[in-house]
Amino acid sequence: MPPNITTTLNTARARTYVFRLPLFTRVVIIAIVGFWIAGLQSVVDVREWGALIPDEMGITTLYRMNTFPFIHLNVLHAVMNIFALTPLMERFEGEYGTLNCLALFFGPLTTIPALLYVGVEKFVFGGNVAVMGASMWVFLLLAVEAIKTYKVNPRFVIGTYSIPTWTTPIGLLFAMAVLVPSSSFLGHAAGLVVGYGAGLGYVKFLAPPEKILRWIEGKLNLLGRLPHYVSIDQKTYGRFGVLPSANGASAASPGVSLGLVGSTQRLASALALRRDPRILKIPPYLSLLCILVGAVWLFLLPLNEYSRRTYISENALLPGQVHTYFGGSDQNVFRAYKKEVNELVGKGNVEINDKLESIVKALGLKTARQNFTYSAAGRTFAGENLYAILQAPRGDATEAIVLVAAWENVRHEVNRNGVPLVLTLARYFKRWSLWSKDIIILLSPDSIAGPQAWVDAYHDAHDSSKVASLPIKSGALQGAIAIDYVQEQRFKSVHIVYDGVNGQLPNLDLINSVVNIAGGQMGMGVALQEMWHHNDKYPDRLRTMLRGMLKQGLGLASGPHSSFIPYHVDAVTLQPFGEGWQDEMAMGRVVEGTFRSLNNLLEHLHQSFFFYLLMHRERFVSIGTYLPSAMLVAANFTIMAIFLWMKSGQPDAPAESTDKTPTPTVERDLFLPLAVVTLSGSLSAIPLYIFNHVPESALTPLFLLFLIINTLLPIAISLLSTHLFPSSPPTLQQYHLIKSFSLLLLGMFLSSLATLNFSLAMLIGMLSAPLSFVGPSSSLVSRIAGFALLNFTSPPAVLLASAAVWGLNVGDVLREAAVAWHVTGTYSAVVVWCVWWPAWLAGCVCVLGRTEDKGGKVKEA
Amino acid sequence: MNGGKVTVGRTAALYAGAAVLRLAIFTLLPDLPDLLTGRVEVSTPVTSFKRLQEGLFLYNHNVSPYDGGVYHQAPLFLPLFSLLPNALSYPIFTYLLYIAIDLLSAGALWKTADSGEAGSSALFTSPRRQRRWNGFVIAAIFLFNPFTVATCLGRSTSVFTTCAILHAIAKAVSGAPFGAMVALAFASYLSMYPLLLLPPLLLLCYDRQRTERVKKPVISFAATHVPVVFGVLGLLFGMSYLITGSWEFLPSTYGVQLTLSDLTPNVGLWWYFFIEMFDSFRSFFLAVFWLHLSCYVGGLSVRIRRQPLVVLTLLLGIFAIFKPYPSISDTSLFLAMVPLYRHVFPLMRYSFVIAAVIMYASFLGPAFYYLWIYAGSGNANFFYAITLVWGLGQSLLVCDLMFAVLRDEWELERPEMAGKEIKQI
Amino acid sequence: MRQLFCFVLLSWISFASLLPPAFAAAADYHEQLVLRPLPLSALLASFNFRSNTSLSEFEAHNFRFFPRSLGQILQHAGTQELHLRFSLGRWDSEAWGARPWGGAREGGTGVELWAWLQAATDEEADHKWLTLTNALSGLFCASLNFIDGTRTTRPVMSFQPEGDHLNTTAADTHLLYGVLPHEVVCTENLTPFLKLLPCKGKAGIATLLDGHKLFDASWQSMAIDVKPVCPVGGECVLQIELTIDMVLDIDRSKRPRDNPIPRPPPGHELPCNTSKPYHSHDTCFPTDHQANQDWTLSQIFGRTMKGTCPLTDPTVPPVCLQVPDSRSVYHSDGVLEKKNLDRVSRCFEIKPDVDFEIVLPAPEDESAILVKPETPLLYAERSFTGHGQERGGVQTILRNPSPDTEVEFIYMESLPWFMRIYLHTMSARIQGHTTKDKSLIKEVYYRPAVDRARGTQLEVRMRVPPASTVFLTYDFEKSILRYTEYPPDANRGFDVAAAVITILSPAAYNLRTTSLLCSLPTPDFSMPYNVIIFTSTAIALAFGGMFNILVRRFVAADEGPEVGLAVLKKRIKERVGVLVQKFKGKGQKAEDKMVEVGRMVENPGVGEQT
Repeated sequence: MPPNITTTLNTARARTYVFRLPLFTRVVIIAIVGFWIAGLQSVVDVREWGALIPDEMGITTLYRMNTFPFIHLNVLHAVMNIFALTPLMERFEGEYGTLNCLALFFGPLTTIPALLYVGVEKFVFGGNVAVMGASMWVFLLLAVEAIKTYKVNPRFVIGTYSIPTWTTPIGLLFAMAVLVPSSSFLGHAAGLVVGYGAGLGYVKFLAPPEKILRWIEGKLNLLGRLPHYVSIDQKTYGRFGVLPSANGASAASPGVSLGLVGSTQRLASALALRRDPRILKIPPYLSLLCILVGAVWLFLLPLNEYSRRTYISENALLPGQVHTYFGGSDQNVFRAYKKEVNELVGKGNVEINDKLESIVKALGLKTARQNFTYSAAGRTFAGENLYAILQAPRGDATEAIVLVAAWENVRHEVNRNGVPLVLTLARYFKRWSLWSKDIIILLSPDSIAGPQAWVDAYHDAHDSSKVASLPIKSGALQGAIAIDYVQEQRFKSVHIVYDGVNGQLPNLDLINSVVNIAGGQMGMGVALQEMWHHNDKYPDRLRTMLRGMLKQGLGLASGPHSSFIPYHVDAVTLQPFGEGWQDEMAMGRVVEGTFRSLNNLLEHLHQSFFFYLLMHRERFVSIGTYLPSAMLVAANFTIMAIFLWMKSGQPDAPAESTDKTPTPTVERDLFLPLAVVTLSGSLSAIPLYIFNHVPESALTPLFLLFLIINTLLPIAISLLSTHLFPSSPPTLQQYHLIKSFSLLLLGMFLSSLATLNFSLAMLIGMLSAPLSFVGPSSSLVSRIAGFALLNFTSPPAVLLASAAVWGLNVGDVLREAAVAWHVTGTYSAVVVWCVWWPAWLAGCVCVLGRTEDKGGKVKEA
Repeated sequence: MNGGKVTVGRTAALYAGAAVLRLAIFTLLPDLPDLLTGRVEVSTPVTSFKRLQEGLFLYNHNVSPYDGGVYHQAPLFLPLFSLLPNALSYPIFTYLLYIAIDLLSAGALWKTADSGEAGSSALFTSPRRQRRWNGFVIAAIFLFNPFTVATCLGRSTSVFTTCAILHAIAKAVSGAPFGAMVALAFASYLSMYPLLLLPPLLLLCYDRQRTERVKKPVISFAATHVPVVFGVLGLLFGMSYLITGSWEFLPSTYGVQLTLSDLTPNVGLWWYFFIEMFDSFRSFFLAVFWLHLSCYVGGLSVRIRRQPLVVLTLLLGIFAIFKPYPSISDTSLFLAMVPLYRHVFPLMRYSFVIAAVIMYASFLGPAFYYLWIYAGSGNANFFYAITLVWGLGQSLLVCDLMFAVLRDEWELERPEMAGKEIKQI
Repeated sequence: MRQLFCFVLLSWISFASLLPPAFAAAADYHEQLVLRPLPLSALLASFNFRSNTSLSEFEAHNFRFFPRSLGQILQHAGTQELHLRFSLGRWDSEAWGARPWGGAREGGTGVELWAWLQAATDEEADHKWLTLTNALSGLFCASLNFIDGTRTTRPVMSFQPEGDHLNTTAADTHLLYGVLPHEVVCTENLTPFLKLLPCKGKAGIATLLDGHKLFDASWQSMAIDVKPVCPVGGECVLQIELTIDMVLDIDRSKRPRDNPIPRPPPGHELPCNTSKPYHSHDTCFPTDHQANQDWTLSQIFGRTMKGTCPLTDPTVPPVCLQVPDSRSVYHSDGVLEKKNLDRVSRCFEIKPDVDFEIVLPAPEDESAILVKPETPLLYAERSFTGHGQERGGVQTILRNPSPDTEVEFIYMESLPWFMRIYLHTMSARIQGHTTKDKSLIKEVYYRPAVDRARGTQLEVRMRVPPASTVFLTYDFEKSILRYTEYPPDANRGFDVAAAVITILSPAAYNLRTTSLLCSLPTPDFSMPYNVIIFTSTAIALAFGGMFNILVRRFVAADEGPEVGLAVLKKRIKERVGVLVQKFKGKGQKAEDKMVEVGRMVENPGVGEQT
């Protein structure tokens, strides 16, 4: 009979599984947990006591050889091992019986690897590395399993290369050694060797003779007394002989599975592998593991082992190597300019520009203006940029650096100190003859639209109906610094804002040089991500990183610098903050120092990192370290997709599995699934268009309306699909296919997105994780439960919830999104509506799928 | 689902649908065609429409387009397109031309499919041949394949080659060897590499000859028909010479493909290899790559002698991977031929994996290209890695199809093995 | 008579109308320095040295004032006319007005060289050109030898020979033009330049030429022009003219050499606008852009002028200053000041052995500070459009300031081959009009680039209507190079030479745009081995896969030889057996060992059914 493949791990199944765990396995688990709890107190160092330490080995300390598997480094270690160990141990015990397990695992299977390890570690490597944890067992059992699998189907084929199945644990061994820090390669290897030995039966002779075991068992009547005890005799009937189990028959013993595999006409051994019930049971757990590991991975990043100290990799920058002279009588000038600026507060944009232009012209700079008009969410953002070019003496207009001061910052406070400071700096820079690049002064009316319009026009990527072209230009932009200096009193430290549009980041070298100059040379503090106080500890690092990821994920412009970054112009905004003794001149010197560094550049910044997560001004993780987490999350969808595809190809009734069709797999009816997926995909254009084009006032009501429709839509579709063809309602297979396709697409988009905007991919991946686990089922309850779960994680619901959490009004959130879409071209909305939402919709349709007829078969099959 | 009954109405509907779809995109999204024309995945230096326009401009202003590094396409395009109104002012005519070409290709494909050559050739009849799609479905798959549509929108000149090749095959299966040879000559004239298809095409023609003719041995058959190809080629070259007034179009059209002097990125494996190649070894590796590309012809023609159409299909797949300047239009040509083998699909082992890999690559490719060229945050290796994946995915498809076909042949000898597990030794 | 002469000479200097040959023949060597204050505290100083030698003497290797080193090179390379330019910085025509010499004595940033060579064939011309560039690069310590085939063009319309060549040798004279935009001009180029002068740097105006000052200038251009001049009736002479123009920033030059850092001045020295209501001791609205019109020769050049060169033609005043006559100028004694008729310039005649010094005090009235600079015939600004390293566009903004006269000119670009320009996208439109205007472009000469062999040469004859701005745009594609073809600083980008604009009407006038920086896509330079390995692996995988399928035959899974671990086991068994045999002579023990081994081999079977 064909195997039953449990697609979704619903809680009930998990519970029975736990309750069915045999005796010894339970004991082991309890022991591990117990030892961990015991390890919490600090009176006796349990780890010290129990670990396997080569030098400690002596007659009196032989107990270590048996205790070390139970003792773990930390809770993570313990949990991981328990997860890995339980199923294996359970299988093993089921086959060999509890007594055998007891004998073997307190005898050879533990001591031999231990001795192996100690021997090699001590006498070969002469090292003395203590090992602990059950992972040795895990590998041992894995090896045993691998050998068994090998006997059933010797090789699986990749491309045209067939790989013996018994090698897989070795691969895992190396993977662990590489991925998991401080994992004992040697210890695992020892376990593996003994495991292979056991699998091939070479250590059989060490097992206690059955006669004796039977005798003991008989005498003590263990079977009667102990719950969950697995008798030795049972193993001859195959595992779970007497265990109460729902899927007893289904979990086919190797012998049975062989017959089965033979009967369902395998094509290649690869197919055989696919057919193998054990393989087919893994994927849901595998994808769950992917998600868990992905999440855990993220939280490991702030640790010292994973994050790195920042460093300047572009040697030409030489930050903080030059003496800065800004100050002295420039302060008088600054005060004058500030007076002028203060008089302008509250005046119109053009009036302000007239005044500022007269000042800048007086400095002998070339000035020009640019008009722009954006309209979004029923509003218009119009204004006039004023910019001036300080031509580098002896320079040729090939390269330029930009100094930006927006009249208003993102919080719409007037940049009272920033603008005069920029004017004073311009006057000061004019006196120097060492500039190798032009310096462009940009004075924009606001912080988002103005710079965006200017940069677009500079690169001729602008829509000339909204944004005027620039009358004068300079060379290629090499970098930009924006000053957002609102506060009046003296400041303490500088806050660096570096998030670009769509989560793109400036070259890390730029941030490093600013940190180096402000923090090192000027001796003022530097803060990131509004972490005004940062003790370089785990929690603060984590908070900084998560804030950074959130901003990156939203992809909104966070300052005047944001618009530059998409054009490969590295830019940051500097905000003074805090109560301190630093004055405007100090701020000016920071800018001067940074400009001198940029001026030194021979090549465009390309050396250092563009993908990074900063968690402290001097700590970061690079893409190589953090990308796997997002990729794992994305991978889980792909795994499920492949798995469902295979499953949909399974003959789901005995009759079909034995008939003589030459095809190994049943025909897949692709029409309906493709139709549903395409439909949900094409529907997604509607919310995208609506929420980007309706006026602000209509946003909130529309959203609420959409919320309701959103809940009803899946129901409607599933009803439609059932009643449209009453003759042939969608089968289980079709639901599998729908889910498979939508998950495949989701996984594909997310993994591509992870390279463009890691955080967004991570967020969406996490939020849509439930999609890969809920599926069609026969019981109404589980259907409703799944549907409810999905509705709580639906895009609009999440939007609503997050708005509530941050105390925002949904309408404002939507307006911001629309503005960002129209002005800065933020594509987060597209991802939400055209990637996440369709997948969610398809998932809902699957959940609501009712599959009594087929479902029944599955149950009893 | 094998199409059911094909009526004239359905045919018209299919063609009309395809044409309307393309026209709609052309007119509703006027920026898209130019965007696609600029994509490296769609247009390569030897097929780019923008370069064609440049060549045309120079040609019309009496500057030899071949005395420069931009235009590397066949000379006959120049008079052809200078007959049309200017593509910038009246684009509609160009659109119509390209749409017509696509429909012609579809028609040829349809003929090929309905001939049933795929299922049962002269020397071999597949036990599974009933499970096939008719011409309608196959033409539809070709016409609505996103890659085909993208190529048509991008107005890459490779569609002409595609059309010529498909017609050569159609002629061959319909037993008109002469026409096949002429069509092949045209294809080779447009972009050289189709000349490698000559041996299998000859075999195909030979197998599909009208029965009433006496069967001559293959050699004499070839001896009579190969000259046709070269005659036509010579004729075309002569015309080109008359048009351009010099032979310098030869080095600048075919020489570029042979020496890969233009290293513009594309979806193939050559460009980055020869960017990073040491100068002293460049010519050697060029020879090796070309040898590798041509070495498949003989092997396949001999091993799968009984189904020349299969050889053609597989070769098209191989060219789509290992050509000097491949683009997605070559892939679309290959993907147009694959559905002919509907009957061996069940024997394929990695259909889903292949689909996943190809889709992944086609999404990640543009993303990584953007990171390299525009965002500047990634480097060339990003895009290069994706081209590798793309190539591997396609070669996996070729391998799998080859395996399925061979297995199909093998089961004719040993029917009892149908559905059993087998291995190769 | 002399006044008249001076006037003619001056008018020639400031309006760059070519000198009547009669005068040229008269003097064998003369030198002159013209100082012209410019707005925004700038000062234009243009040095001009000219010497002649008759052709016959030249042929006879009898170079008099003609520098021998250069003369031999010219003879060897069969050069009839030579123009060499070293330039740095940019001329700010909005502020400074028309260019000196009508732009005829300047080049684009970097080094520019064009020459008329006498050669029968193009190949011979190229060969001579190669000789010439190599020799000159040695002579001027500049990497002129990098002007290879890809950087050389043969302009058709832009350049006309300045000298008058006899016997219409146009057939066998070839004009070649080469440019090195990336060449940084510096002091090592000045020294050989001074060596060409008869008085070297020892006497005369050349003593003012100091490397530090010259290369601290905002704009500077060194020019060498060699041309034959044939006066009517007179004997032809070969004329070499060396010109140095520089725009000095007065307040930068006035900084003491030992303390060049522009520290903020003490508060009380700051020129303030005292009219501001908030003006106080610590608040000062600066007005310093007006200042710095008072200077002395020694402040500007760091030294005074040491007499005059004895070889120079005494009839030509060595120093002239262009300020309104109303402005008072003091000079050291032994110097004769002559005001010219144009009322905006005066010249100084200096005795051979006196140190010359002039002092301009701060002007009394704002109006008479300096001569109002004349507006140029055309403003040109060139920039890239688009972003990314795949393709881009070039946009040249040409503005004709004159209200009534239309300007006709030739716009010449010589672009590197890796910029693949699309000529069919070239369009010219008048600002305000969106549609392109066919009538603006009159004639186009285009020679497309050939990869790695030849650069693009584009010459456009076009017109700009009065008081209008024309946008000339075209697209190009950036090609990716072999990794060995990139310079060490690949990510800086590649310099694109300035466009040369030669105005035909209403008057002869030249100007150059600024040069550009074109960033190409770069491969990963650390990767050659990896790439070769990866690609080969991919190909091997594909080939191997197909090869396997093609050559291996099918059998059922249960047929055929067993593979993998079984074979291994058998081998181990034999090995052990043999070992045991040779180990123990006693058959009995050997046997049961064998048995045991046998059991070990059986065991897996047990494991399987359990």
